[in-house]
Amino acid sequence: MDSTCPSDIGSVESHRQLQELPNELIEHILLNNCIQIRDVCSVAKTCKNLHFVCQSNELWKQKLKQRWPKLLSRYKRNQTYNWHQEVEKCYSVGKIVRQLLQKLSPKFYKVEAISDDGFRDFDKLIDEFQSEEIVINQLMEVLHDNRSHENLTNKYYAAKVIRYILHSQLRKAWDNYLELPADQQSPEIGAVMIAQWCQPTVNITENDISDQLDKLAEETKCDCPDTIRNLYTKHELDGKFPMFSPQQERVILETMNHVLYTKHEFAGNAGDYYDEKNSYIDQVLSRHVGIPITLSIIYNSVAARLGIHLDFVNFPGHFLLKWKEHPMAQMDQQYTFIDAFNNGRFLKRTELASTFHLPDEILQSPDIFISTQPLQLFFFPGISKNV
Amino acid sequence: MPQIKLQSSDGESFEIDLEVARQSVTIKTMLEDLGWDESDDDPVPLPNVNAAILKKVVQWATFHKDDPPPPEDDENKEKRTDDICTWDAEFLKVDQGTLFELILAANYLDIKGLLDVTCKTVANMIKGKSPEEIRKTFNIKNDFTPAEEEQMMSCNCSATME
Repeated sequence: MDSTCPSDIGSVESHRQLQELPNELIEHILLNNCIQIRDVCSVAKTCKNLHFVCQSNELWKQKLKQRWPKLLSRYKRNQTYNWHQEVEKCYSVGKIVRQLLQKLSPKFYKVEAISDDGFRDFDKLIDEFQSEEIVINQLMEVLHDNRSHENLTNKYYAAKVIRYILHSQLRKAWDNYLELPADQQSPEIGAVMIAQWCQPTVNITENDISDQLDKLAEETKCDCPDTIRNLYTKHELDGKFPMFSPQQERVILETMNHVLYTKHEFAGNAGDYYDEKNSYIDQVLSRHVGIPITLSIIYNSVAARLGIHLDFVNFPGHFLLKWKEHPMAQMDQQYTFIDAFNNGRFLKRTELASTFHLPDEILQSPDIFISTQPLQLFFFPGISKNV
Repeated sequence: MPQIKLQSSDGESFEIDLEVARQSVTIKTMLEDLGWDESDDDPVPLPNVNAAILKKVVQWATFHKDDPPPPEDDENKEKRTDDICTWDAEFLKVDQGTLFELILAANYLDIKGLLDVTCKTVANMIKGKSPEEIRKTFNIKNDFTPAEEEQMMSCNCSATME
Protein backbone atom coordinates (compact mmCIF):
# COMPACT_ATOMS: atom_id res chain seq x y z
CA MET A 1 0.00 0.00 0.00
CA ASP A 2 1.12 3.47 -0.75
CA SER A 3 1.37 5.38 2.46
CA THR A 4 0.62 8.79 0.96
CA CYS A 5 -2.84 9.79 1.94
CA PRO A 6 -4.54 10.78 -1.31
CA SER A 7 -5.95 13.94 0.16
CA ASP A 8 -2.46 15.22 0.93
CA ILE A 9 -2.58 17.01 -2.34
CA GLY A 10 -6.16 18.18 -2.58
CA SER A 11 -7.69 20.45 -5.09
CA VAL A 12 -5.63 22.64 -7.30
CA GLU A 13 -6.59 26.12 -8.36
CA SER A 14 -8.86 25.61 -11.33
CA HIS A 15 -12.20 26.94 -12.40
CA ARG A 16 -12.76 24.62 -15.24
CA GLN A 17 -16.37 23.73 -15.92
CA LEU A 18 -18.18 20.74 -17.33
CA GLN A 19 -19.18 22.64 -20.46
CA GLU A 20 -15.52 23.32 -21.25
CA LEU A 21 -14.80 19.65 -21.77
CA PRO A 22 -14.75 18.55 -25.40
CA ASN A 23 -18.03 16.96 -26.44
CA GLU A 24 -16.54 13.50 -26.81
CA LEU A 25 -15.48 13.56 -23.16
CA ILE A 26 -18.93 14.65 -22.03
CA GLU A 27 -20.30 11.80 -24.09
CA HIS A 28 -17.82 9.46 -22.43
CA ILE A 29 -19.21 10.53 -19.05
CA LEU A 30 -22.78 9.92 -20.20
CA LEU A 31 -21.86 6.49 -21.58
CA ASN A 32 -21.18 5.27 -18.05
CA ASN A 33 -23.86 2.80 -17.20
CA CYS A 34 -24.87 4.48 -13.97
CA ILE A 35 -26.37 7.14 -16.27
CA GLN A 36 -29.82 5.91 -17.16
CA ILE A 37 -31.90 6.90 -20.16
CA ARG A 38 -33.92 9.34 -18.11
CA ASP A 39 -30.68 10.98 -16.92
CA VAL A 40 -29.63 11.52 -20.53
CA CYS A 41 -33.02 13.17 -21.15
CA SER A 42 -32.48 15.44 -18.14
CA VAL A 43 -29.01 16.42 -19.28
CA ALA A 44 -30.36 17.20 -22.76
CA LYS A 45 -32.78 19.69 -21.22
CA THR A 46 -30.15 21.76 -19.41
CA CYS A 47 -28.61 23.77 -22.24
CA LYS A 48 -28.10 23.88 -26.00
CA ASN A 49 -24.66 22.32 -26.11
CA LEU A 50 -25.53 19.42 -23.84
CA HIS A 51 -28.71 18.96 -25.84
CA PHE A 52 -26.48 18.60 -28.87
CA VAL A 53 -24.17 16.08 -27.14
CA CYS A 54 -27.18 13.99 -26.18
CA GLN A 55 -28.13 13.51 -29.85
CA SER A 56 -25.17 11.17 -30.36
CA ASN A 57 -26.33 8.00 -32.06
CA GLU A 58 -23.63 5.92 -30.37
CA LEU A 59 -24.75 7.18 -26.96
CA TRP A 60 -28.31 5.95 -27.57
CA LYS A 61 -27.06 2.66 -28.88
CA GLN A 62 -25.10 2.09 -25.67
CA LYS A 63 -28.05 3.17 -23.54
CA LEU A 64 -30.31 0.69 -25.32
CA LYS A 65 -27.69 -1.98 -24.78
CA GLN A 66 -27.38 -1.16 -21.09
CA ARG A 67 -31.13 -1.03 -20.53
CA TRP A 68 -32.14 -4.03 -22.66
CA PRO A 69 -28.98 -6.08 -23.20
CA LYS A 70 -30.85 -8.96 -24.79
CA LEU A 71 -32.51 -6.82 -27.42
CA LEU A 72 -29.32 -5.83 -29.17
CA SER A 73 -29.21 -9.18 -30.94
CA ARG A 74 -32.30 -8.24 -32.99
CA TYR A 75 -30.31 -5.54 -34.76
CA LYS A 76 -27.98 -6.31 -37.63
CA ARG A 77 -24.40 -5.36 -37.00
CA ASN A 78 -23.59 -3.63 -40.24
CA GLN A 79 -26.78 -1.64 -40.57
CA THR A 80 -27.25 1.92 -39.30
CA TYR A 81 -30.14 2.62 -37.01
CA ASN A 82 -31.55 5.71 -35.42
CA TRP A 83 -30.93 4.45 -31.89
CA HIS A 84 -32.81 7.26 -30.22
CA GLN A 85 -35.89 6.19 -32.13
CA GLU A 86 -35.28 2.56 -31.24
CA VAL A 87 -35.10 3.45 -27.54
CA GLU A 88 -38.34 5.41 -27.86
CA LYS A 89 -39.89 2.42 -29.57
CA CYS A 90 -38.88 0.08 -26.76
CA TYR A 91 -40.43 2.43 -24.23
CA SER A 92 -43.65 2.84 -26.18
CA VAL A 93 -44.00 -0.90 -26.67
CA GLY A 94 -43.29 -1.46 -22.99
CA LYS A 95 -45.98 0.98 -21.99
CA ILE A 96 -48.58 -0.58 -24.28
CA VAL A 97 -47.64 -4.07 -23.12
CA ARG A 98 -48.28 -3.08 -19.52
CA GLN A 99 -51.60 -1.48 -20.41
CA LEU A 100 -52.74 -4.51 -22.37
CA LEU A 101 -51.74 -6.80 -19.51
CA GLN A 102 -53.85 -4.81 -17.08
CA LYS A 103 -56.87 -5.36 -19.28
CA LEU A 104 -56.54 -9.14 -19.39
CA SER A 105 -57.41 -9.91 -15.81
CA PRO A 106 -60.83 -8.19 -15.60
CA LYS A 107 -61.71 -9.73 -18.94
CA PHE A 108 -60.61 -13.29 -18.33
CA TYR A 109 -60.52 -14.00 -14.63
CA LYS A 110 -63.69 -16.03 -14.91
CA VAL A 111 -62.60 -18.29 -17.73
CA GLU A 112 -60.17 -21.11 -17.36
CA ALA A 113 -58.33 -20.87 -20.64
CA ILE A 114 -57.94 -17.83 -22.82
CA SER A 115 -58.68 -18.40 -26.47
CA ASP A 116 -56.27 -17.08 -29.08
CA ASP A 117 -58.67 -14.22 -29.67
CA GLY A 118 -57.85 -12.92 -26.24
CA PHE A 119 -54.32 -12.21 -27.38
CA ARG A 120 -55.18 -10.45 -30.64
CA ASP A 121 -54.19 -7.07 -29.23
CA PHE A 122 -50.66 -8.35 -28.74
CA ASP A 123 -50.55 -9.65 -32.32
CA LYS A 124 -51.55 -6.19 -33.51
CA LEU A 125 -48.89 -4.57 -31.37
CA ILE A 126 -46.25 -6.90 -32.78
CA ASP A 127 -47.35 -6.17 -36.34
CA GLU A 128 -47.45 -2.46 -35.76
CA PHE A 129 -43.95 -2.22 -34.33
CA GLN A 130 -42.41 -5.25 -36.09
CA SER A 131 -41.23 -6.18 -32.68
CA GLU A 132 -41.77 -9.69 -31.42
CA GLU A 133 -38.54 -9.52 -29.41
CA ILE A 134 -39.35 -6.18 -27.81
CA VAL A 135 -42.79 -7.37 -26.72
CA ILE A 136 -41.42 -10.63 -25.32
CA ASN A 137 -38.57 -8.78 -23.65
CA GLN A 138 -41.02 -6.43 -21.95
CA LEU A 139 -43.20 -9.31 -20.83
CA MET A 140 -40.14 -11.08 -19.45
CA GLU A 141 -39.32 -7.92 -17.54
CA VAL A 142 -42.76 -8.00 -15.95
CA LEU A 143 -42.33 -11.68 -15.16
CA HIS A 144 -38.81 -11.55 -13.76
CA ASP A 145 -38.87 -8.29 -11.82
CA ASN A 146 -36.98 -9.54 -8.75
CA ARG A 147 -40.06 -9.06 -6.59
CA SER A 148 -41.33 -12.57 -6.61
CA HIS A 149 -44.37 -11.94 -4.41
CA GLU A 150 -45.76 -8.85 -6.10
CA ASN A 151 -47.83 -8.18 -9.20
CA LEU A 152 -48.78 -11.81 -9.35
CA THR A 153 -51.81 -11.24 -11.54
CA ASN A 154 -49.76 -9.40 -14.13
CA LYS A 155 -47.11 -12.06 -14.00
CA TYR A 156 -49.67 -14.80 -14.44
CA TYR A 157 -50.98 -13.18 -17.59
CA ALA A 158 -47.52 -12.17 -18.81
CA ALA A 159 -46.51 -15.84 -18.77
CA LYS A 160 -49.63 -16.75 -20.74
CA VAL A 161 -48.99 -14.08 -23.35
CA ILE A 162 -45.35 -15.08 -23.70
CA ARG A 163 -46.40 -18.66 -24.27
CA TYR A 164 -48.95 -17.59 -26.85
CA ILE A 165 -46.49 -15.40 -28.80
CA LEU A 166 -43.65 -17.86 -28.59
CA HIS A 167 -45.79 -20.76 -29.68
CA SER A 168 -47.13 -18.99 -32.74
CA GLN A 169 -43.58 -17.96 -33.56
CA LEU A 170 -42.32 -21.51 -33.08
CA ARG A 171 -45.12 -23.00 -35.13
CA LYS A 172 -43.89 -20.97 -38.10
CA ALA A 173 -40.26 -21.82 -37.41
CA TRP A 174 -41.14 -25.50 -37.05
CA ASP A 175 -42.97 -25.50 -40.40
CA ASN A 176 -39.92 -23.97 -42.05
CA TYR A 177 -37.73 -26.54 -40.38
CA LEU A 178 -39.84 -29.40 -41.68
CA GLU A 179 -39.55 -28.08 -45.21
CA LEU A 180 -35.75 -28.11 -45.16
CA PRO A 181 -33.96 -30.98 -46.90
CA ALA A 182 -33.20 -33.71 -44.36
CA ASP A 183 -29.47 -33.05 -44.27
CA GLN A 184 -30.06 -29.44 -43.34
CA GLN A 185 -32.36 -30.14 -40.43
CA SER A 186 -29.88 -29.56 -37.67
CA PRO A 187 -30.79 -31.71 -34.67
CA GLU A 188 -29.37 -28.99 -32.46
CA ILE A 189 -31.83 -26.40 -33.74
CA GLY A 190 -34.70 -28.85 -33.45
CA ALA A 191 -33.72 -29.52 -29.85
CA VAL A 192 -33.62 -25.78 -29.13
CA MET A 193 -37.14 -25.39 -30.52
CA ILE A 194 -38.44 -28.21 -28.35
CA ALA A 195 -36.81 -26.64 -25.28
CA GLN A 196 -38.30 -23.25 -26.15
CA TRP A 197 -41.74 -24.67 -26.77
CA CYS A 198 -41.89 -26.49 -23.47
CA GLN A 199 -40.34 -23.70 -21.39
CA PRO A 200 -41.71 -20.52 -22.94
CA THR A 201 -40.82 -18.26 -20.04
CA VAL A 202 -37.20 -19.31 -19.94
CA ASN A 203 -34.98 -17.30 -22.24
CA ILE A 204 -33.34 -19.86 -24.51
CA THR A 205 -31.60 -18.78 -27.69
CA GLU A 206 -29.98 -20.75 -30.48
CA ASN A 207 -26.89 -18.60 -30.02
CA ASP A 208 -26.54 -19.39 -26.32
CA ILE A 209 -26.81 -23.10 -26.92
CA SER A 210 -24.47 -22.93 -29.88
CA ASP A 211 -21.92 -21.00 -27.81
CA GLN A 212 -21.96 -23.65 -25.10
CA LEU A 213 -21.42 -26.41 -27.64
CA ASP A 214 -18.63 -24.37 -29.26
CA LYS A 215 -16.94 -24.16 -25.91
CA LEU A 216 -17.03 -27.92 -25.40
CA ALA A 217 -15.57 -28.41 -28.88
CA GLU A 218 -12.83 -25.84 -28.25
CA GLU A 219 -11.91 -27.55 -24.99
CA THR A 220 -11.65 -30.85 -26.80
CA LYS A 221 -9.37 -29.31 -29.43
CA CYS A 222 -7.14 -27.91 -26.69
CA ASP A 223 -6.93 -31.30 -24.98
CA CYS A 224 -6.08 -33.18 -28.16
CA PRO A 225 -2.47 -34.29 -28.69
CA ASP A 226 -0.28 -31.70 -30.43
CA THR A 227 -0.33 -33.41 -33.81
CA ILE A 228 -4.10 -33.17 -34.04
CA ARG A 229 -4.35 -29.75 -32.42
CA ASN A 230 -1.94 -28.37 -34.99
CA LEU A 231 -4.07 -29.76 -37.79
CA TYR A 232 -7.04 -27.81 -36.41
CA THR A 233 -5.12 -24.54 -36.14
CA LYS A 234 -3.68 -25.02 -39.60
CA HIS A 235 -7.09 -25.54 -41.17
CA GLU A 236 -8.90 -22.93 -39.14
CA LEU A 237 -7.89 -20.21 -41.58
CA ASP A 238 -9.62 -21.67 -44.62
CA GLY A 239 -12.66 -22.61 -42.54
CA LYS A 240 -12.55 -26.25 -43.58
CA PHE A 241 -11.92 -29.34 -41.53
CA PRO A 242 -8.86 -31.46 -42.04
CA MET A 243 -9.49 -34.99 -43.26
CA PHE A 244 -8.82 -37.24 -40.33
CA SER A 245 -7.83 -40.86 -40.50
CA PRO A 246 -10.02 -43.28 -38.50
CA GLN A 247 -7.20 -43.55 -35.95
CA GLN A 248 -7.14 -39.78 -35.53
CA GLU A 249 -10.91 -39.68 -35.25
CA ARG A 250 -10.73 -42.23 -32.47
CA VAL A 251 -8.22 -40.08 -30.58
CA ILE A 252 -10.46 -37.03 -30.99
CA LEU A 253 -13.57 -38.89 -29.81
CA GLU A 254 -11.68 -40.31 -26.84
CA THR A 255 -10.51 -36.81 -25.93
CA MET A 256 -14.04 -35.57 -26.32
CA ASN A 257 -15.29 -38.33 -24.01
CA HIS A 258 -12.77 -37.20 -21.45
CA VAL A 259 -13.91 -33.57 -21.72
CA LEU A 260 -17.63 -34.37 -21.62
CA TYR A 261 -17.79 -37.20 -19.16
CA THR A 262 -14.76 -36.81 -16.90
CA LYS A 263 -14.12 -33.09 -16.82
CA HIS A 264 -17.71 -31.86 -17.09
CA GLU A 265 -19.28 -34.99 -15.64
CA PHE A 266 -22.04 -35.30 -18.20
CA ALA A 267 -24.05 -38.43 -17.42
CA GLY A 268 -27.19 -40.28 -18.18
CA ASN A 269 -29.81 -39.42 -15.62
CA ALA A 270 -30.58 -43.00 -14.69
CA GLY A 271 -31.79 -42.01 -11.22
CA ASP A 272 -34.47 -39.66 -12.45
CA TYR A 273 -34.92 -40.76 -16.02
CA TYR A 274 -38.41 -39.39 -16.51
CA ASP A 275 -37.68 -35.87 -15.29
CA GLU A 276 -38.77 -33.72 -18.23
CA LYS A 277 -35.73 -31.51 -17.81
CA ASN A 278 -33.70 -34.39 -19.25
CA SER A 279 -35.39 -33.67 -22.58
CA TYR A 280 -34.48 -30.01 -22.88
CA ILE A 281 -31.10 -29.27 -24.36
CA ASP A 282 -30.57 -26.08 -22.32
CA GLN A 283 -31.23 -27.97 -19.09
CA VAL A 284 -29.00 -30.85 -20.10
CA LEU A 285 -26.20 -28.40 -20.85
CA SER A 286 -26.56 -26.68 -17.50
CA ARG A 287 -27.32 -29.73 -15.32
CA HIS A 288 -25.06 -32.14 -17.23
CA VAL A 289 -27.58 -34.96 -17.03
CA GLY A 290 -29.95 -36.14 -19.72
CA ILE A 291 -31.56 -39.01 -21.56
CA PRO A 292 -30.02 -40.86 -24.53
CA ILE A 293 -31.61 -38.63 -27.19
CA THR A 294 -30.55 -35.28 -25.74
CA LEU A 295 -27.10 -36.53 -24.82
CA SER A 296 -26.73 -37.98 -28.33
CA ILE A 297 -27.70 -34.65 -29.88
CA ILE A 298 -25.13 -32.85 -27.78
CA TYR A 299 -22.52 -35.50 -28.55
CA ASN A 300 -23.29 -35.31 -32.25
CA SER A 301 -23.22 -31.48 -32.28
CA VAL A 302 -19.84 -31.31 -30.54
CA ALA A 303 -18.41 -34.01 -32.81
CA ALA A 304 -19.67 -32.13 -35.87
CA ARG A 305 -17.85 -29.03 -34.65
CA LEU A 306 -14.71 -31.15 -34.53
CA GLY A 307 -15.21 -32.33 -38.09
CA ILE A 308 -16.48 -35.81 -37.30
CA HIS A 309 -19.74 -37.02 -38.79
CA LEU A 310 -21.92 -39.31 -36.71
CA ASP A 311 -25.37 -40.73 -37.40
CA PHE A 312 -28.21 -41.41 -35.03
CA VAL A 313 -29.52 -44.93 -34.57
CA ASN A 314 -32.76 -45.77 -32.87
CA PHE A 315 -31.60 -49.05 -31.42
CA PRO A 316 -34.34 -50.96 -29.60
CA GLY A 317 -34.63 -49.64 -26.10
CA HIS A 318 -31.65 -47.37 -26.41
CA PHE A 319 -30.76 -44.43 -28.56
CA LEU A 320 -27.21 -44.58 -29.99
CA LEU A 321 -24.83 -42.87 -32.35
CA LYS A 322 -22.89 -44.66 -35.03
CA TRP A 323 -19.50 -43.75 -36.40
CA LYS A 324 -18.01 -45.12 -39.59
CA GLU A 325 -14.71 -46.21 -38.12
CA HIS A 326 -13.86 -48.79 -40.74
CA PRO A 327 -15.00 -47.44 -44.11
CA MET A 328 -13.08 -50.16 -45.96
CA ALA A 329 -14.58 -53.08 -44.04
CA GLN A 330 -17.62 -55.11 -45.01
CA MET A 331 -20.95 -53.39 -44.71
CA ASP A 332 -21.90 -54.85 -41.34
CA GLN A 333 -18.52 -54.17 -39.80
CA GLN A 334 -18.01 -50.56 -40.81
CA TYR A 335 -19.62 -48.94 -37.83
CA THR A 336 -18.68 -48.44 -34.22
CA PHE A 337 -21.58 -47.52 -31.97
CA ILE A 338 -21.37 -44.80 -29.34
CA ASP A 339 -23.51 -44.74 -26.24
CA ALA A 340 -23.81 -41.08 -25.24
CA PHE A 341 -25.91 -42.04 -22.20
CA ASN A 342 -23.09 -44.16 -20.78
CA ASN A 343 -19.96 -42.01 -20.87
CA GLY A 344 -19.70 -42.23 -24.64
CA ARG A 345 -18.50 -45.82 -24.58
CA PHE A 346 -17.66 -47.43 -27.94
CA LEU A 347 -19.50 -50.63 -28.80
CA LYS A 348 -18.94 -53.11 -31.60
CA ARG A 349 -21.95 -54.38 -33.45
CA THR A 350 -21.48 -57.80 -31.93
CA GLU A 351 -21.52 -56.39 -28.41
CA LEU A 352 -24.84 -54.62 -28.76
CA ALA A 353 -27.19 -57.48 -27.97
CA SER A 354 -25.44 -58.54 -24.79
CA THR A 355 -24.91 -54.95 -23.62
CA PHE A 356 -28.57 -54.11 -23.84
CA HIS A 357 -29.81 -57.57 -22.79
CA LEU A 358 -31.48 -58.29 -26.09
CA PRO A 359 -31.74 -61.64 -27.85
CA ASP A 360 -28.97 -62.25 -30.38
CA GLU A 361 -31.48 -62.67 -33.19
CA ILE A 362 -32.21 -58.99 -33.03
CA LEU A 363 -28.95 -58.35 -34.83
CA GLN A 364 -30.30 -60.20 -37.83
CA SER A 365 -32.85 -57.52 -38.47
CA PRO A 366 -31.09 -54.93 -40.63
CA ASP A 367 -33.71 -52.22 -39.93
CA ILE A 368 -32.44 -51.48 -36.48
CA PHE A 369 -29.14 -50.16 -37.75
CA ILE A 370 -30.53 -47.69 -40.26
CA SER A 371 -29.59 -44.15 -39.45
CA THR A 372 -32.40 -42.02 -38.17
CA GLN A 373 -33.07 -38.58 -39.60
CA PRO A 374 -32.85 -35.90 -36.94
CA LEU A 375 -36.42 -34.95 -37.79
CA GLN A 376 -37.67 -38.31 -36.69
CA LEU A 377 -35.98 -37.89 -33.38
CA PHE A 378 -38.58 -35.44 -32.34
CA PHE A 379 -41.38 -37.85 -32.83
CA PHE A 380 -40.07 -40.12 -30.17
CA PRO A 381 -42.21 -40.13 -27.10
CA GLY A 382 -39.24 -39.46 -24.84
CA ILE A 383 -38.66 -36.02 -26.10
CA SER A 384 -41.77 -34.81 -27.81
CA LYS A 385 -44.55 -35.90 -25.53
CA ASN A 386 -45.37 -32.29 -24.83
CA VAL A 387 -45.27 -31.01 -28.36
CA MET B 1 14.46 0.92 -11.47
CA PRO B 2 14.90 3.26 -14.45
CA GLN B 3 13.65 6.77 -13.99
CA ILE B 4 12.26 9.24 -16.43
CA LYS B 5 11.84 13.01 -16.34
CA LEU B 6 8.54 14.63 -17.24
CA GLN B 7 8.14 18.34 -17.72
CA SER B 8 4.83 20.06 -17.06
CA SER B 9 3.41 22.92 -19.13
CA ASP B 10 4.62 25.42 -16.53
CA GLY B 11 8.17 24.10 -16.69
CA GLU B 12 8.36 21.98 -13.55
CA SER B 13 10.29 18.69 -13.85
CA PHE B 14 9.20 15.41 -12.27
CA GLU B 15 11.41 12.38 -11.98
CA ILE B 16 9.35 9.21 -11.77
CA ASP B 17 9.68 5.47 -12.31
CA LEU B 18 9.50 4.44 -15.92
CA GLU B 19 6.93 1.77 -15.05
CA VAL B 20 4.63 4.40 -13.55
CA ALA B 21 4.99 6.68 -16.56
CA ARG B 22 4.25 3.91 -19.00
CA GLN B 23 0.65 3.64 -17.77
CA SER B 24 0.12 6.64 -19.99
CA VAL B 25 -0.26 5.29 -23.51
CA THR B 26 0.71 8.73 -24.82
CA ILE B 27 4.03 8.71 -22.97
CA LYS B 28 4.63 5.06 -23.78
CA THR B 29 4.18 5.66 -27.52
CA MET B 30 6.24 8.81 -27.36
CA LEU B 31 9.16 6.94 -25.78
CA GLU B 32 8.93 4.16 -28.34
CA ASP B 33 8.84 6.65 -31.20
CA LEU B 34 11.77 8.56 -29.81
CA GLY B 35 13.79 5.42 -29.20
CA TRP B 36 14.25 6.53 -25.61
CA ASP B 37 16.79 4.73 -23.45
CA GLU B 38 17.87 5.03 -19.84
CA SER B 39 20.84 7.24 -20.60
CA ASP B 40 18.52 9.92 -21.99
CA ASP B 41 18.39 12.80 -19.61
CA ASP B 42 16.08 15.09 -21.57
CA PRO B 43 12.71 15.58 -19.92
CA VAL B 44 9.60 14.52 -21.85
CA PRO B 45 7.55 17.69 -22.41
CA LEU B 46 3.85 17.51 -21.58
CA PRO B 47 2.56 20.87 -22.84
CA ASN B 48 -1.07 20.15 -21.90
CA VAL B 49 -0.66 19.34 -18.21
CA ASN B 50 0.36 21.80 -15.50
CA ALA B 51 2.48 20.89 -12.49
CA ALA B 52 -0.35 20.72 -9.96
CA ILE B 53 -2.38 18.30 -12.06
CA LEU B 54 0.64 16.29 -13.15
CA LYS B 55 1.49 15.80 -9.49
CA LYS B 56 -1.93 14.31 -8.88
CA VAL B 57 -1.78 12.14 -11.99
CA VAL B 58 1.61 10.79 -10.90
CA GLN B 59 0.23 10.10 -7.45
CA TRP B 60 -2.67 8.15 -8.96
CA ALA B 61 -0.43 6.24 -11.37
CA THR B 62 2.03 5.36 -8.59
CA PHE B 63 -0.72 3.85 -6.48
CA HIS B 64 -2.13 1.90 -9.44
CA LYS B 65 1.16 0.78 -10.99
CA ASP B 66 0.55 -2.89 -10.21
CA ASP B 67 -3.04 -2.99 -11.49
CA PRO B 68 -3.76 -5.53 -14.20
CA PRO B 69 -4.07 -3.86 -17.61
CA PRO B 70 -7.61 -2.68 -18.37
CA PRO B 71 -9.62 -5.14 -20.45
CA GLU B 72 -10.04 -4.40 -24.15
CA ASP B 73 -13.41 -3.06 -25.15
CA ASP B 74 -15.44 -5.80 -26.68
CA GLU B 75 -18.67 -5.44 -28.63
CA ASN B 76 -20.17 -8.47 -26.96
CA LYS B 77 -19.05 -7.92 -23.44
CA GLU B 78 -20.89 -5.92 -20.90
CA LYS B 79 -19.00 -2.82 -19.91
CA ARG B 80 -17.73 -3.36 -16.40
CA THR B 81 -18.63 -0.77 -13.85
CA ASP B 82 -16.49 -1.66 -10.95
CA ASP B 83 -17.27 0.57 -8.07
CA ILE B 84 -14.79 3.23 -7.30
CA CYS B 85 -12.28 1.87 -4.78
CA THR B 86 -11.88 3.66 -1.46
CA TRP B 87 -8.47 5.03 -2.31
CA ASP B 88 -9.76 6.54 -5.57
CA ALA B 89 -12.85 7.94 -3.85
CA GLU B 90 -10.61 9.65 -1.31
CA PHE B 91 -8.25 10.79 -4.07
CA LEU B 92 -11.12 12.33 -6.02
CA LYS B 93 -12.51 14.35 -3.11
CA VAL B 94 -11.59 17.52 -4.95
CA ASP B 95 -13.47 20.48 -6.36
CA GLN B 96 -15.08 20.24 -9.77
CA GLY B 97 -12.39 22.33 -11.45
CA THR B 98 -9.72 19.83 -10.41
CA LEU B 99 -11.88 16.90 -11.40
CA PHE B 100 -12.37 18.26 -14.92
CA GLU B 101 -8.66 19.06 -15.20
CA LEU B 102 -7.94 15.44 -14.28
CA ILE B 103 -10.37 14.20 -16.94
CA LEU B 104 -8.62 16.34 -19.55
CA ALA B 105 -5.19 15.18 -18.40
CA ALA B 106 -6.22 11.50 -18.31
CA ASN B 107 -7.64 11.88 -21.80
CA TYR B 108 -4.53 13.63 -23.13
CA LEU B 109 -2.15 11.20 -21.47
CA ASP B 110 -4.43 8.29 -22.44
CA ILE B 111 -4.67 6.61 -19.03
CA LYS B 112 -7.81 4.55 -19.30
CA GLY B 113 -8.17 3.70 -15.64
CA LEU B 114 -7.96 7.30 -14.49
CA LEU B 115 -10.31 8.47 -17.24
CA ASP B 116 -12.90 5.84 -16.31
CA VAL B 117 -12.85 6.59 -12.61
CA THR B 118 -13.00 10.37 -13.04
CA CYS B 119 -15.81 10.13 -15.58
CA LYS B 120 -17.71 7.79 -13.31
CA THR B 121 -17.37 10.30 -10.49
CA VAL B 122 -18.97 12.98 -12.67
CA ALA B 123 -21.63 10.52 -13.84
CA ASN B 124 -22.52 9.86 -10.20
CA MET B 125 -23.04 13.58 -9.75
CA ILE B 126 -25.51 13.62 -12.66
CA LYS B 127 -27.60 10.53 -12.04
CA GLY B 128 -31.09 10.89 -10.66
CA LYS B 129 -31.13 14.67 -10.92
CA SER B 130 -33.65 16.90 -12.67
CA PRO B 131 -32.47 19.28 -15.41
CA GLU B 132 -32.66 22.18 -12.97
CA GLU B 133 -30.60 20.31 -10.35
CA ILE B 134 -27.99 19.42 -12.96
CA ARG B 135 -27.74 23.08 -13.99
CA LYS B 136 -27.23 24.05 -10.37
CA THR B 137 -24.63 21.34 -9.72
CA PHE B 138 -22.49 22.25 -12.69
CA ASN B 139 -23.27 25.92 -12.93
CA ILE B 140 -24.83 25.54 -16.38
CA LYS B 141 -26.64 28.50 -17.91
CA ASN B 142 -29.99 27.73 -19.46
CA ASP B 143 -29.61 29.18 -22.95
CA PHE B 144 -32.81 27.86 -24.46
CA THR B 145 -35.35 30.36 -25.70
CA PRO B 146 -38.76 30.02 -24.07
CA ALA B 147 -40.07 28.65 -27.35
CA GLU B 148 -37.39 25.96 -27.48
CA GLU B 149 -38.07 25.05 -23.90
CA GLU B 150 -41.75 24.77 -24.62
CA GLN B 151 -41.00 22.47 -27.50
CA MET B 152 -38.76 20.31 -25.37
CA MET B 153 -41.36 19.91 -22.67
CA SER B 154 -43.81 18.61 -25.23
CA CYS B 155 -41.27 16.32 -26.90
CA ASN B 156 -42.19 12.73 -26.44
CA CYS B 157 -39.31 11.66 -24.33
CA SER B 158 -41.29 8.79 -22.90
CA ALA B 159 -38.23 7.66 -20.96
CA THR B 160 -38.76 10.42 -18.43
CA MET B 161 -42.23 9.14 -17.71
CA GLU B 162 -41.22 5.65 -16.69
